[in-house]
Amino acid sequence: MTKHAPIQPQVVVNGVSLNATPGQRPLVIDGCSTLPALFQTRCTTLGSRTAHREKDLGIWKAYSWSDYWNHARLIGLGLRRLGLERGRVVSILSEDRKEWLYADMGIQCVGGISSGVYTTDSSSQLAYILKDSDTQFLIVENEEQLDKFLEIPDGAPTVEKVIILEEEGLHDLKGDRFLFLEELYDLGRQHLAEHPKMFEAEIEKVQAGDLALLIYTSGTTGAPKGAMLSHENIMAAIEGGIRALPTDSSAEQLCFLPLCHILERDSSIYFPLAVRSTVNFAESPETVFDNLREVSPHVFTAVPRVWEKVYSRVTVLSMEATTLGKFAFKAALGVGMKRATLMQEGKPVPATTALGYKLADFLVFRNLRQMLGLDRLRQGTSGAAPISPALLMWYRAIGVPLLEGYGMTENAGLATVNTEVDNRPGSVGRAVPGVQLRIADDGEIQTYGLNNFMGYWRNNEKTAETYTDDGWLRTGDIGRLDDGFLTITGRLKDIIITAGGKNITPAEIESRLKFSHYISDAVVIGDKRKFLTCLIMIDQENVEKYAQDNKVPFSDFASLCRAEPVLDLIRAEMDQVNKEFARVEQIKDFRLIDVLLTAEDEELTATMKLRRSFVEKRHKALIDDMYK
Amino acid sequence: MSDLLLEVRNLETFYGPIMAIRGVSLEVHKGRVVTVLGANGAGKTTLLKTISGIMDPEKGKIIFEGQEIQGLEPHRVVKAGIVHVPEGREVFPLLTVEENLALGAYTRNDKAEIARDRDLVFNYFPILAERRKQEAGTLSGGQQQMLAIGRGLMLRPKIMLLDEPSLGLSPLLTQEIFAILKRLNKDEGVTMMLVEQNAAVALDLADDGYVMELGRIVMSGTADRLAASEDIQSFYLGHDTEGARGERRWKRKKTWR
Repeated sequence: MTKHAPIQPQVVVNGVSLNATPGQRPLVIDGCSTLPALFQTRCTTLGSRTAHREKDLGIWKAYSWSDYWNHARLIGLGLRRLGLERGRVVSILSEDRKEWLYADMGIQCVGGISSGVYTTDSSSQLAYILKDSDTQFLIVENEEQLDKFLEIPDGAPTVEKVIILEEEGLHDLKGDRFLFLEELYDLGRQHLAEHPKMFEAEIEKVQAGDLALLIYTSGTTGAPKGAMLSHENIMAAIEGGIRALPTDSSAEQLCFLPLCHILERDSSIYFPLAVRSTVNFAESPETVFDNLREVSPHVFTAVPRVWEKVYSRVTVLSMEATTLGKFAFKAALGVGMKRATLMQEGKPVPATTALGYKLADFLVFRNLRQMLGLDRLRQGTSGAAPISPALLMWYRAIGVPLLEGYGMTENAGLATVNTEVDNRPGSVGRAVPGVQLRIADDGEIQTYGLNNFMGYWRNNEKTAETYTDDGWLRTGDIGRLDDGFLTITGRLKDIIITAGGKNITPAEIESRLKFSHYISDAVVIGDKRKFLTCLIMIDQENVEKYAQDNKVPFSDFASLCRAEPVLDLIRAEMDQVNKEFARVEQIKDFRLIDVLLTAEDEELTATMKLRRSFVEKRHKALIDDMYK
Repeated sequence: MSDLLLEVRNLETFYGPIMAIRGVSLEVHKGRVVTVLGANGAGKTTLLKTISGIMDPEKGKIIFEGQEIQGLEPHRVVKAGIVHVPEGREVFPLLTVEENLALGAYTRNDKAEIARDRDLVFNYFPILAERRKQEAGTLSGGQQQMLAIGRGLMLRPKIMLLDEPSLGLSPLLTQEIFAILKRLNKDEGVTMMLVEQNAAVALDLADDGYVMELGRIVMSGTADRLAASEDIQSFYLGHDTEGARGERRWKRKKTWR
């Protein structure tokens, strides 16, 4: 065991022992300073308790912490037997599943570096990442992902072996570069028999400052960069997370965002290690809402898009309800909103409103939450993109505690968060304990803490650009602080300077547009131009619903985007937003992106955000058309 | 493009609580062949049934020659000039070929013209002339399909709704029937709306096409454009790239572009 006596005075938060003062070295959680050590501690003490659940042929099956430990150990030792060296990278190309966790922990325990690749990445993107990271072993989920590897022209020479999780359809696969997971487990078993204590010894060797993860950031400009995160970085994020967002070991969670993304990685692998919660894997991105109902999680982390979808479903359902149902929902929502607004403003809630809310909750909201799978929710969080304050209020009104937070890969995914007691919708909350915030003269948000990353993999130039002279992380975001609450207004490098010389932060306008239920994302254009314009990605479901309700004929998505009433609808939304901005900041014209983009498209990130540079390039014709 | 003959706007049709058509809009122009492609359960048959009045829509409009016809009784729809050739042929098995054809002309009473149209049908489907006295139930599947189409023609329809004419037929017979449909369209100017699972023959015949999935239209365009689309090629026409291993089981995701 790598339990060192903690040097800092300790305090117990929700059953987890932490340094009494956050952000101090050596940073320990329950006496552990690395993820492998914490993993070992948890698996040893929790043993047969359920660590995670996964659906097998439609039935939820539970897997214990011992299963977790045994499989991670076999993967770690198997990789070692194949020749994995300490400090070399193992890449994982798979959808979320328990083996993702086994591999991630197994790799780290034997001193490897774990790097996730998005399943939506193309073969050439995979090739780039494998080459850049000098990947020694690649773990692929199935036939489909394997084919991406096989299509790499030069065969990705750094990769010694490819481990395949699912054998289906690959019985005829030949070549000694490939092996199936079971074969890796067998190698692990042989190694375990010969070196029974090796895994534990390897865990002991891991140092807090060692590189644990490589996370490739989407790279809106240029090639993706591998952000290096140490064990200490992640432990610091956990320390801040446990203090700011208390949960306990009884919590059930749902994992569905890509584990390559720091948000899901933190919330579904590393935070549960610390708080001992149970992670349930959604079957696929398409079944998230069904899985949500089945699991009814206590803790649910999602991106705004998902929260928006839940809202849309409820709105659609309520419109299709009976007259009585409609009336009840409307009345209940009225009371809920009134109460939420009063509470938000810090005003007392009158007894009549409180009573009305109790009734509304009993008759309407309780059932609604049950139907959505949010009836047990103690803590919902939203991150990775701005969420509309109106939407946050709506969730408050129906009794779902939803909080917005902020973080980025470079600070291990967590810098600020609103909390139940300290909540200001529209802001991303206060800095989590252990993290410091400041706003630079140019408006840039800078963070400081043990969660700040080690730099970019083999890219000192970019690393140097990311840090200030006094060692603060330049987030690249701009924003402001009001009594400690951070509000994000844009991206520094996205600042538009119009032909008239006016500086404009497009993100501010884009966020406001995105708050419309009909607009899924927007990109404001106008650099070196006379006026601002905008490309808009509409929310398919809601706009289709609107068209259907208003008898607007359309056939496919492109025709929906062409329909005049739809354009009028978006124009009205735009006019509404324009009112909040000064004349020079107003959008004069817009175009709809009339193809339905998927995560495979370069224009979208894995969390379904538009990428400015790609959008500007791909849809140049639309843009030019507006400036004719 | 020629005159708009049939227009469907925002149609919604239910089977009890199940919404089978979730807002479909499409157009059929005079003299054109429009095909609607889609997998099982996409709502294609329901769409035809709703147009021909066998089912009533919950919402939306069906406009035929400028008149709204949604929710009309089927016989009124037939009188307006819309003929539905149902899936699985459904000829009257105990009636002869001639009697079946006569029933097709049930709403008409111009005897000379009817006789002329029957000859036209026999001209297009000579096998029916040979078997005119035979009971329809004893015909082969292909012949029954010809009879069903012939029966439809007897009305001198302004538009024919054809529900999977290739169903259960050999490839050769399918080709034969589609060749006849093509001639009917070119020579007689019959407008057709064709629902098919056999995308290859349908796109070959059609001028325009729509693709339905789960009760919605996901793609539309000229038949040439659809035939060139990667999704159509891979999901409907069976042209698939084989991938790096020369074999693959997984399906690419549909984008409908």
